[in-house]
Amino acid sequence: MSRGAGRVVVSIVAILLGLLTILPFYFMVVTSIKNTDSYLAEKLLPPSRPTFENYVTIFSQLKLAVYFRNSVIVLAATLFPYVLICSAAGFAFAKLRFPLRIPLLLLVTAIMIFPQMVLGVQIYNLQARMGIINTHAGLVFAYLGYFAPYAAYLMTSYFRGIPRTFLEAAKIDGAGLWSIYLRIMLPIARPMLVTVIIVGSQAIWNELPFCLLLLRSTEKRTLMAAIALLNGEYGVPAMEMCAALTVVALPIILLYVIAQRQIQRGILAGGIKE
Amino acid sequence: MSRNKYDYQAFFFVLPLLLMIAVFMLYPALTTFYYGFTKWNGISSPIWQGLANFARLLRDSSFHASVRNALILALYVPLWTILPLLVAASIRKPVLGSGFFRSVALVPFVMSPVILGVLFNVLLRTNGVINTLLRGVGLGMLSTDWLVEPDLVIHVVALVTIFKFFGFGVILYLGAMGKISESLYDAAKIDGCSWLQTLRAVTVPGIRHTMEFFVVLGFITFFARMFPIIYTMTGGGPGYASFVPEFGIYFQAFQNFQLGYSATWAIFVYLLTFLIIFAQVMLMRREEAQ
Repeated sequence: MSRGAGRVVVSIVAILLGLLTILPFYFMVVTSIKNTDSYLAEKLLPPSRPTFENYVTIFSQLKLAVYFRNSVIVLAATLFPYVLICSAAGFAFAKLRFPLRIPLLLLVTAIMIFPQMVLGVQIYNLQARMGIINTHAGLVFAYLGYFAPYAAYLMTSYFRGIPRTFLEAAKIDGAGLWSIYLRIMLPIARPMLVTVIIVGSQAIWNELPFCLLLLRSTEKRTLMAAIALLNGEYGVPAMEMCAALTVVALPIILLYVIAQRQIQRGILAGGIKE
Repeated sequence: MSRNKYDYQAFFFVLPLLLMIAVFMLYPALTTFYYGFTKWNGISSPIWQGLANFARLLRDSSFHASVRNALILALYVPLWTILPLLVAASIRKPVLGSGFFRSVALVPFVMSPVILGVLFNVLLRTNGVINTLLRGVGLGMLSTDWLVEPDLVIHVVALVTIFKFFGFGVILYLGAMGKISESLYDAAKIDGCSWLQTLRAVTVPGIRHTMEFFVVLGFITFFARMFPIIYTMTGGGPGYASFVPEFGIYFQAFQNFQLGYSATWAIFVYLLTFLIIFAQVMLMRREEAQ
């Protein structure tokens, strides 16, 4: 068989796989703009007359706006401390000498392996005793504990690549560690900070176990827990479910389109080492 | 400047992170290993039970079902590992269409497992899109109640999970393959190696560490990170047909209000996770010794 024929086969397979990858999401969007009749009549093709009534329904009857707002609040409240905590730790782990540095760094890396569901119930117990259960603040703390370690790991490897001479020169000029961190290190690390923010936003937006366990009342609930409970408990029709999914997926799809390179860099860093 | 001087101020930089980890991750993790030995409803004080919870766990039919399902899921790790390898090796050299595939490959991976679980719950219903699709391409005899057949459902869960991670695997492998020296491929070509021989002799050894990472990720995912996708897709059912160990933790705590017994389940999942990590560390040690 000629090499040309092989290339054609690979091309066809690549295109088919690409289409297969996005096919479920095509069905998600297409189903979300159908009414009952057009869904029953024709499942695969887009409707001849698209309707947005499902979107109206999910916002008016299923309180999707409340959950959306809650998700945005939790995300926004997490991001600032998350960035500060992980960049400060990354700077120290990569550039400063202190006792127990290596064991502590290993501990931070190990946290990433802990399964969320296993932690979740005991975090619930702890937060119940602390009196912060069923609050957005409690969820933010859980997210900081669970997601900041990976970000700190990314920041550490980034700061390692920055020559020590920057640090030494600033020290000789009499700058303290805080001003070195704020004035020199953070600006240098801007590309990695962007990556860390994007990867963190995606992880926090998508997360289920913690928000399901820690937020118990309907008005506090975030999107993912709301969607999961919606599908489980009330027989919501396929079209409305798909409309809700589209709304929830939209921010992630936009993020993916805008920042694909940063996403790749952020999620590949854990798996490819020198 | 002295080399051994410590920057004690460094502790202020790592303190916030360590505090979050210690209070909200480590402490809860450690308490699991106490509560797992107690009878506790979450309100009155816990009563020490010794090993009674573990004896109960071993007799619990839902535990048997969850172990069986976890083992079935683990049988999918080879497919999970090899499918992206074959695709990545095929599109290592760009061809028409490979750019398109690469640009969409990560879409299922960046989506929430909640979105995938609910979406496939909708698509796999009896009168859903996937059965319609099968009938449309003449495979109507394959159409079935995907999420209702007890013997089928856990396999469907495994395949949807592989769908989520497949593109991530491809992109990960491609990234690692980019670090293999092109001269190795040239040498293989001069030696007359076939595509498969090149894969075995050059590609796989070159990306071995990345493949190990992906295998470990596979085991951890199937053993301890299935809750969101199964909760939304099947709810663990029908019956216990897709009930995995994480569900035991959840149901004992939030349906039966037996927080002690829930922690016993959690200890089992911790042990599974530690076992995987231990196996990986031993494997790495053996390689370094060679």
